[in-house]
Amino acid sequence: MIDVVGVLSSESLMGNLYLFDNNRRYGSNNEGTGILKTFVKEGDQIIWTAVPIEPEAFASITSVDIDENICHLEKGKFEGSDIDYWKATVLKNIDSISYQITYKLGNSINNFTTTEEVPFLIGTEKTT
Amino acid sequence: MNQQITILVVVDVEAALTQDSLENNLYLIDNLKNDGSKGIGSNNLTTIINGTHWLDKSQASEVIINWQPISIASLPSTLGNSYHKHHSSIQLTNCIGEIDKLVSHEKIKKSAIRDKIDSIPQVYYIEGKGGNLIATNIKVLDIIGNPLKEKKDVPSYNPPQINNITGEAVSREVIFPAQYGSPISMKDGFYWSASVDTSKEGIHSYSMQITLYDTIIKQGKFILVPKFFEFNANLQISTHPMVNGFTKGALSYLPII
Repeated sequence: MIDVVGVLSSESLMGNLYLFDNNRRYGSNNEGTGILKTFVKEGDQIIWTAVPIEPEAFASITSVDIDENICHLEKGKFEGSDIDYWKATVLKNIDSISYQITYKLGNSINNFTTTEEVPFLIGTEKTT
Repeated sequence: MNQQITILVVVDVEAALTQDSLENNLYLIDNLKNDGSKGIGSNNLTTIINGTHWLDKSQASEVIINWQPISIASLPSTLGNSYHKHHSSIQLTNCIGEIDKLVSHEKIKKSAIRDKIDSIPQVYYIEGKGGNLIATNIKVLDIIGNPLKEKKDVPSYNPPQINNITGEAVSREVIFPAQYGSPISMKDGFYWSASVDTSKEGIHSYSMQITLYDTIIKQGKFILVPKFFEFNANLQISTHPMVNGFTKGALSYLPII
């Protein structure tokens, strides 16, 4: 969920991005923040979508940047709409990796990327 | 000028149904961070409403709250709640076209037609009073909008429904909630909205009556089973004047107290 007006007025995603996943009961934490840590296992499918808090505002994900050895990313479009989603399958168990999401918001020329607050994928694999 | 407040009610529907509780599975977000709302993104939200009223306590400018329920593991709300109806109409039309072509072929295989028919999405049913199953027009889709192929696949959960808004904010006549119809695709049908008496300073709690739809499979069909929950949040009405979030200056025609 994105506070589009908040991002455009402060020119930053920081504090205006509320990331959620449906894996809290299996180990995800920091729900509702820009530093969401999503618990994943090998074989899990992840789907990213952008939802603006105010329905009149525009928000979409232009890219998701994540280690290709961990996640194979694909972009899709919901049939019959112009709304995109990003999909990935987790290729192996991990310890913790950060990733970035880039958004196009409103009719701003610049895109916004999660650089100040960064989401993570976490897992059970401990690296020595 | 009306200040329109959005409160998103974000729910992990599957977890809430499994644990039979919204406690750790519901998150609230409003669009008043700059005004000082507390707990945005958590399950304990206090929405700040900077009061705008004349010195005689009558209302100078209305504030409207709009609640929007959202399910995390579902098709995004930007598609509109009736996406499953439109999308499947496209699929059905395509499918009928394909079957037509197959039938006009000389050497048709029954299995080819069977496959096409199987790609038509199923609908959800609800259980009637006599135990009979009544079809709805809600199609069973997965989270990327495809018809569910296997019974074991995960469906896109129906968004939570707010059935009523009650509590001390209502009984004290701080907010006047009602359900409205809307042509906006994201709301698609009904949504709850309330105007606020901004002269009533203080913290007031309110309660949302929420229905979540569980899915069970019976006689090979997907059945929607409603489960009822309740969840509270707070409003804090203050006398601070509203400010323009971009300029940090005053809005016009507001009295500064």
